[in-house]
This record gives sequence, C-alpha cells and structure tokens, in this order.
Amino acid sequence: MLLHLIGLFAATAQLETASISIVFGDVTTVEAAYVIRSDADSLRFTMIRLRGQDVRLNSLAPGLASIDSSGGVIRLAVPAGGTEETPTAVRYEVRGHRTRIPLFVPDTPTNPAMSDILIRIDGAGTGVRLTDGFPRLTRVGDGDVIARPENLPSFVHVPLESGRLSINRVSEAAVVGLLLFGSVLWLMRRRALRASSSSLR
Amino acid sequence: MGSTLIVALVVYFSIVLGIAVWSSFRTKTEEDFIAAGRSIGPFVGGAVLAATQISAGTVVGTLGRHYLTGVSWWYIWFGVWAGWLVSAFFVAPKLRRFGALTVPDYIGARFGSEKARALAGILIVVSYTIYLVAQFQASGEIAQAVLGMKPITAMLILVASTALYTMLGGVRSSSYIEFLQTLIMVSGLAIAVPILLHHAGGVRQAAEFLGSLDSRLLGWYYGPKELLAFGVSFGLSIAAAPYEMTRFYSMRDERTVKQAIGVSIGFQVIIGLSVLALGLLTRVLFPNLESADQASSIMAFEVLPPIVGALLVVAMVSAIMSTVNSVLLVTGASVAHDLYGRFVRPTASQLHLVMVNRLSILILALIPIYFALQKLSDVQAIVVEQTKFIASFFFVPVVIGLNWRRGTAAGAITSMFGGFFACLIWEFTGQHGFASHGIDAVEVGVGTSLFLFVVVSKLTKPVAEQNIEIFFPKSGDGRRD
Repeated sequence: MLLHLIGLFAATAQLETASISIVFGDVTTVEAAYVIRSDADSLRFTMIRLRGQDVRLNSLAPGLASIDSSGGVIRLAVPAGGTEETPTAVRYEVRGHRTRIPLFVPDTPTNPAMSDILIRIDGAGTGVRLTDGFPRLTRVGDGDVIARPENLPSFVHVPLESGRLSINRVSEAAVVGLLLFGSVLWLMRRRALRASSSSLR
Repeated sequence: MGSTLIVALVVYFSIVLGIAVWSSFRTKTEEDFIAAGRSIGPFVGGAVLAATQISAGTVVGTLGRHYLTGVSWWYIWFGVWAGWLVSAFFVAPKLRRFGALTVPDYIGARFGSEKARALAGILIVVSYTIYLVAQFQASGEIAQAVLGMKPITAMLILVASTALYTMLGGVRSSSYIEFLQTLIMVSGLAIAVPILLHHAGGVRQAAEFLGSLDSRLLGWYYGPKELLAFGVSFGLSIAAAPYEMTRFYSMRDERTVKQAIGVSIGFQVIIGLSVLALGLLTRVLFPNLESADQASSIMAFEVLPPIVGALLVVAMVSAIMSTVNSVLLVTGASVAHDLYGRFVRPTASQLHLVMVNRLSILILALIPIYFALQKLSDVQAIVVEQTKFIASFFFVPVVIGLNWRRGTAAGAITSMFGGFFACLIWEFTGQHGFASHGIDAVEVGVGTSLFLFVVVSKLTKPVAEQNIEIFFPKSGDGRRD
C-alpha cells in the first residue's frame, strides 16, 4: 500500500511556460502557447466543457493528433516528437456564456518554482470587479487585465457583469463577524463563570 | 494576500503566546501540567478533542487525498467515528474514573507491571515520532506553497513556537489554544466552500467535469476492502490513541468526557464535509497540481480572498500546531513521567519532573525534522501508516484490557510486541503476496495482538484484585471520582 501511494506522486514531465491571451468580443478568442518538458511521444491536454458554451478550435501547431469531446471535457493529444522541450500553440473561439473562459490544461504538472504562466485579458471593460475573479486578476498600465497564477487553472473567471453583492466581500465580512461574535460570546461566558464561582465562595 | 497573511499569523501567534504565558502562571504541579488540574468542560473539551484529531493529516493530507482520488476516501470517517464511539462507551469513562496522568500509567496499574508500562512508553515515543514527521512535512509544504519559504525554516519556526507554548503551560494552555484553533478551522474551512463553488460554476458543473476527468473521482477510487482497512486503522487507533486519552484525564468527570466526544464528532462532521468539498473543487479549478499535498495551500493562496485565505492558512498552521502539541505532551510525559520518573529518578521532585518533561518535549520535537526533510511519502500515507501501528499494539491492551478482567501483564506485553511486529512485517513484506485477499497490515497486527493477549493471559497468573477493581467495580459499587 505504501509503495502504491508513493507511486501516485511520481511526475516525469513538466509545464515550463504558458502564455495565454484572451480577447473578449462578440466571440471570445483565446490564443495559448505552451512549452512542456517531456520525453513522451505525445502531450495530452484537457479542457473543461462549460454549460452554455461552444468551443471551436481554429488552429493547432505543430499538428493535431486527436481531439475527443465527450461528457464534461475536451481532450487533445499532440505529437511531441521525442524532444525534451515541446512548444505547442492552440487558438480557439468561445461562443455563448462569457464570464468563464476554459483553458487547455496539460496533463503534465506545473512546478511553481520554475514555471512561468501569464494570462492576458483584453476587452474585459473597466466595470469588472477584479477582486471577484479567478485566478487573481490585476489591471496593468495599458488597461489590460493580467493573471500570473503559479499553477494553470481550468478556466479564467472574469465577472463581466458584477452584481451588487461580491462573494469575496461577503465571505470576508462573514469571517470578521464570526470572529467578533465568537470573541464576545467567549468573554460573556467567562464573565458568567467568574460571577457564579465568586458567588459560590 | 502576503501582507494580510503575515498580519494574521502575527496576531494568531501573539494570542497563542499570551494564553501560554497566562497558563504558565497557573501551572504549579505535574498534574496541572499534564492534566490541567482536571478542570476542562464539555464544549472546550470537545473542541480540544476535535483539534487533536484534525491534524495536518486532515487539512493537508485528507484534502489532498480528496483532490487526487475523489469522494470514496470520505467513507473512512465512519471508521474514525466508530473509534470515537468505542472510546466513549468502553474506554474513556473507565480511564477517567481511574484518573491516571498518562496511558502507560494505566497500563502499569491495570496489569501490575512496570515492564508493561515501560514498553508502552517506548512504543508511544517511537510511533508518535513517525506522526510528527507527517505534521512537519505538511508545515514545509504549506510554507513553500504560500510563503516561498524553505521547508527547514518553516519546520524550525513550527517547532520553536509549538514547543514554547507546550513547555510553558502544558495541557491547560493547550486546551484553550486548541479550542481557539477548532473555531478557526471550522469557520475557515466552511466559509471557503461557497467561494470555491461560486468560481467552479455550481455543483452540477463541477460534478460533470470531475466525472469526465476520471469517473472514479465521484465513484469508487478505492474499493470496499481498501476503505475497510483504512477505516479499521483509524477507528482502532482512535479508540486507543494515547494523545486523545490524555485529554480525557484533563476533563472534569466521566459525563463531561462523553459529552465532549459528542461535541467533537459534531465538529468533525463539519470539517470532514468541508474538506471533501474543498478537495474536489480545487481539482475542478486546478486539475493538475504537482503535489496533492499542496492543494489546500494553493487553494488558500490562489483562490480565496485575502482575509479568508489567511484565515485558512492560519487554520492549517493551527491544525498542525495542535497535533504537534498533543503529541509532544504525550511523548514528553512518556519520557519524563513513565520512563525517567519511574526508572531513572523515582525520587525526583514535582518541579524536577516538569523540567525533564519540558526538556524532553524540545528534544523530541527536533528529531522528526530530519525525516520530514527526506519526504519519504505524502502526508496522508504517513498518517495512515502510523495509525496502523498504534492500533496494532495499543487497541488490545487498552480496549480489551479495560473490558476483560482476565488480561495479564504477560498477555499485555506479548500482545504489544506481537501486534507491532506483525504489522511491521506484513506492511513491508507479506502483504504483497496476500494483497489480492485484501488483508491489510492493521488487521494482521490487531489479530495477532488479540490472539497473543487472550492465549498468554489464559496461561498466566491473573492480575491481583486491587489492580483491577477500579476498572471492574462489583455491582452496587459507586463511581470513584
């Protein structure tokens, strides 16, 4: 059992860089370039299929081996040619639901200390509540929005039409409220215990 | 999040230190140090038991295991809770009535044997050193993922802070700190779930993706035989876990112990469900992490808003600290009270014993760091292995010993030795040949231990009546609190 469990964690390949550009418009366009270090014959990618969306693959370099679209995922397999570092680029369009844009995630893991991931978002508008996005989004000087996650996410969540309530604000308020409520309750209980023990004396 | 996290950690460590200093002024005798003057009530007691149970194994290891293998791992909780119920009905009340300071105290008194006491003390130190390896490894994983800190630095900070509050205030400071830790864990984990669910696009969307990614994630990654073995390991080890039992001794009376176990199971249900949801949802958001053990810290750092993320990291750190603290209290007491105080300096004063206890805690905290840096396996696997050993050598002498009056010292000693070695041999050699039968090392260990306990006890002279009368009161006897 122990050896079996150790085996679960053996990683042989790694995502080195991922540069992803998302352009919002009537149709959202995604261009993604990956460099993966692997000595495998093919590289595999998985993309989450989100409800209310249609994803159309426009181009793929250096050449599509196979695409399988079933259930909740789209799978890609790309020939790697046996070299140690394989660059792969993919371009696709997303129609329909716009706030979550799916990404192809390679089956090779990321090493946060050595990998470099950049997601650039264009055309998201200025009214976007960045703090509610995923992964962490920041606005850069030219007005574009970027994310530099340490691990490649399944999708980018850009809350284009922010509601009045922010989930992050509500949860943070809940945390602070809970801690204050707990502290007050504890103080009241301690006071009551002290009062009852002094009255017994 | 970096600055928020640092502020949260500074505030948290300041509170912990404050409680420890306050407790140190109220700790005057060995009983104060090891059993908090037997003053802990049911709610604080329940939170303390939950904090002791919920370790890095849960917040880092179990969450990581759900990330990697899905829902089926959750079923082992039933084994955990079964272990608590066995403890509540067959172990805790009798041990609390006996009123010992440590588990080897019970072994020594119940079987009338100093050798059995010494063996129990040694086995506790060995097995819990393995447990500390898992806790330290988890602290290294969190520090590396969240702060970019070297694992060795994080481990030394953890050891310094935990050993400090354990050494200063003993069980009294630990109890209040662990009460606080449980509240932080429950609120941090529970609040994180809706945030992740919101990002993932709801339950249906998440389930569709997970099911397509790997159908076993929502079904049976582990088969029933494997889950049974894991559940049995956890259940049997919890029913006889020395670091949980030490906490029973610090509670007011038998009734308080039973109520505290109920409260503890309530906390564990919330924590278990939250950890399951967070593990699965982190897989939806980041389907291919390098290490499953990093799922919890990556979720806290990369998904949650700064205050919630910081709270969750504090919860993870506190889960590790509370377990390290409990383990250090037990192993320190084994060295100072059961070995040094009995065999090296039986005439040592109370003050001297407390000093030896504190020194033992410091030394025993440093040893596992070396092994944690080797990263021999993932956190949950180390925890599982350790529970198998605890169950194999302690379940029978503690649970059966408390409920079968014919058990003898020779039976207890052979049972502890036999269970330990049977588990060890099966784990590293025999099981590969028998794996298809689904017989796990813990079942072999406990089975061997039980067989030896019964057979050897039947063949040897019964224990003197004065040793066992407190555990087996004749009908009509009152309680002896």
